[in-house]
Amino acid sequence: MKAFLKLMLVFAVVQAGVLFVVFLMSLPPDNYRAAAIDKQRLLRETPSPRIVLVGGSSLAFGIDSPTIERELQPGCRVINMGLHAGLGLDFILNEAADGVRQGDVIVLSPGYDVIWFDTVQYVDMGEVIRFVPRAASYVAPHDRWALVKSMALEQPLVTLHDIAVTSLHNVVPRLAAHGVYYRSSFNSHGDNVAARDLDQYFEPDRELPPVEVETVAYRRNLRALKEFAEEMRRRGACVFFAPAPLDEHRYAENSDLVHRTLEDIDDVAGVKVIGSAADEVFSAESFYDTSEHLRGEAVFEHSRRLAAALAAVDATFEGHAECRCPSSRTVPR
Amino acid sequence: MGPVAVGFYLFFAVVFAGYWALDNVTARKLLLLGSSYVFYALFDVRFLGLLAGATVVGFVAGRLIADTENSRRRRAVLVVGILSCLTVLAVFKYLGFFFESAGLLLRSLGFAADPPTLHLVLPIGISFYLFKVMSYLIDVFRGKTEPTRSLLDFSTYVAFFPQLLAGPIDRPADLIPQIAEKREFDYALAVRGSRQVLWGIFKKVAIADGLIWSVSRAFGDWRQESGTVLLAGAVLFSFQIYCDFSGYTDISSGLSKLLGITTVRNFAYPYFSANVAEFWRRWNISISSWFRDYVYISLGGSRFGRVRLVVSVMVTFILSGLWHGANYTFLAWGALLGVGVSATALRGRPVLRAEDTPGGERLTVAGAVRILATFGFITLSWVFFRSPTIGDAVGILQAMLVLPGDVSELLAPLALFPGTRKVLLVALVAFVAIEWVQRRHECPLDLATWPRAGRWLAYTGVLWTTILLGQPLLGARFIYFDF
Repeated sequence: MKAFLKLMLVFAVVQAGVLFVVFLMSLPPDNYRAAAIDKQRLLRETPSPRIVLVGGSSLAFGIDSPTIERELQPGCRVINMGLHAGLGLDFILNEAADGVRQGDVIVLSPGYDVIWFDTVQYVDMGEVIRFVPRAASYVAPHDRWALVKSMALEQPLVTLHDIAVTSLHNVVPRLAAHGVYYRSSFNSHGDNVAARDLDQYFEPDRELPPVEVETVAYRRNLRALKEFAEEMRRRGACVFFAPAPLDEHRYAENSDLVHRTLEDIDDVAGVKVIGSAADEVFSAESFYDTSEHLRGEAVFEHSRRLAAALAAVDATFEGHAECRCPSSRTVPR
Repeated sequence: MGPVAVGFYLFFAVVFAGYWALDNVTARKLLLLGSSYVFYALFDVRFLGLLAGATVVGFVAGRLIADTENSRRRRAVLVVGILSCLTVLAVFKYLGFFFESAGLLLRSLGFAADPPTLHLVLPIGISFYLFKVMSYLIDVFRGKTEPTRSLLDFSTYVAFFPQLLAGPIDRPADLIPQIAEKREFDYALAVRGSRQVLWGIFKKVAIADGLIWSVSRAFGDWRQESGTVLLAGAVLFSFQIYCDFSGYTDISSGLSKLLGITTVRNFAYPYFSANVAEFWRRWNISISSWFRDYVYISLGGSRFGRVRLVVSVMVTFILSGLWHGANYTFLAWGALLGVGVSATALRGRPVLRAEDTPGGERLTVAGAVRILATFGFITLSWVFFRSPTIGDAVGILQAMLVLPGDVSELLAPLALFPGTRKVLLVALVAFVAIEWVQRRHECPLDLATWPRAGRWLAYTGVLWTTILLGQPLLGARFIYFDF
């Protein structure tokens, strides 16, 4: 038995050595969720005036920040914090709250699933924390125990796999070509630009049944939006909600629910909705691989509509003169 | 918490440490039994009672058979015991299918029929542990195994956790004595077990789970795909199901070896078989031999002429197909294989056994053609296995017959391996080559003749290929957990 245990120990030590070499080969990390490093740095360092876009991957894929900047007041910088719906609404909001300043314009635009369901995937949350340890403070209290379990039992495997894949891509870059789920897929604003010129990878499922909202999660998410908005206003920031893009089939199946959700966000959560859900419906071909990740010209169209919606907002309606909401170049402030 | 989860290996480490730390054999058995029930409960605590109940029924029936002199009474107890197991299986697995089929039949005859729709949860592992119980009762009745007087031994045999969820189905004469006696730690056995676990994890995580995406891509919207893509998808599914199931049983056997227990070999390089009959001697050996010994031979087998032989084969394989699932596709799959086995049997050619080297000691051109033809037949039969309906299966097979219109169609299957997945394709080809080269060994990682450095390089390569190709937390269940 001792000989066997010694054999296992020596094997483990050898593999630890291999792991060290592979780890060195995997630097710098190009994991998709490592983009959180850059986004949080953007949020900390970008000077005001700024528009902070908050959401999940639909926001990451669906926005071209330079387009919005061109449409609005010169010098107004756009930061796209969108990364992954799997982080859950609480985490996404807490992350944004950590870097928001007085005068910021915050545009919440998560995918509808983030509002309708509890979308948290603890392993993804754990990955972000691995890259940005400070992000542990963004975890909601009710998620902490599940996250600890995930980090103990699931995260080691995910980390090993990620290190192995990244090191292989560093050695054979061709294998990473046409991939969109990397840190290097994002531009300097935090937009995921890798899918824009690619052919559609998967057509959105045309046969999804109508959505059945998770009532408990929905109410909790509305509450979270309300508390976030109130806190941000106390800090002197403006908060809006912009409808996320949806594919035509999904919208047709769930249009009543979508409009009801936007009404609740306005009335219950107290967050003004800018733009119209119907205007953000796109054909199935406009999506890259899910019914939320825009590609091609649709990205620019969606961005222009968001810019127009922002420009149409009266900058002082919330009573904060410091909140320098942008306006169109044709409309003098 | 399946056998590729970190939590499972933490659990096993505790059981392993406790098992070898305990000197008392009864304590070891209690530990094995307790951990088996805890393991099962982690999957579904609702059906622990079913497992316990089946165990008690099997034990009591076994004792009654053993202690009764009257042959009619012995037979009656056997029948009651078997029927109890089959009834439970029928209720959970086949009742919904029966109602649906009856409804279809009645409606086709013009009757208004609206049978109840049942959505019973299938208790995990039920097909395996009930077959173990039935195997015990039949073997006790036939005098092939000594009936055990220890409920503890029998319970541990039925619930032995490395085999609990998806087999293999060890015969009581092989497993119960090993459980009953005190095992001494065997270094060589433990090393072999460790290698087998590593190879099993590689097959399941790197190959089987890695192929899920490619296979789903091929068959997801099969009407839109070319024949070459569907054919490639079928070939990939052949490897997916092989690596999924054999990977699980390798892990199961390897872990058993770490506990000092040798279990039945369940796969012996089935895709290197020269005919369908040989394939069934090499694939899921514990189940195929179960059906051979308890169904095929009981029906007469080859003892009463060619007609009886064909009938025995067809009934056996149809039942075997239905064992896999309550769907006409499994029935069709079983029947197709029954035709293949019947054809081999009627030709009267010798069929290699599982312990023989597949392909023989020297492969000839004719031998290679036979192996490829058998693999092709099996691959086409898997189309029924994977398809939700017979119509889908037939449609897919018809689409495969359409010849490619141009060279681009021949290359179309490469789309099933975009980007990093090309490494998976390379790994798959290497996997087949490794299995062929090492086909004389129970496990391809049995590299005893290699120098130590070479062996460790091989193990390291397999481990890191698994880490690279594995899709952690994909959530892919083992396919045979659903049977």
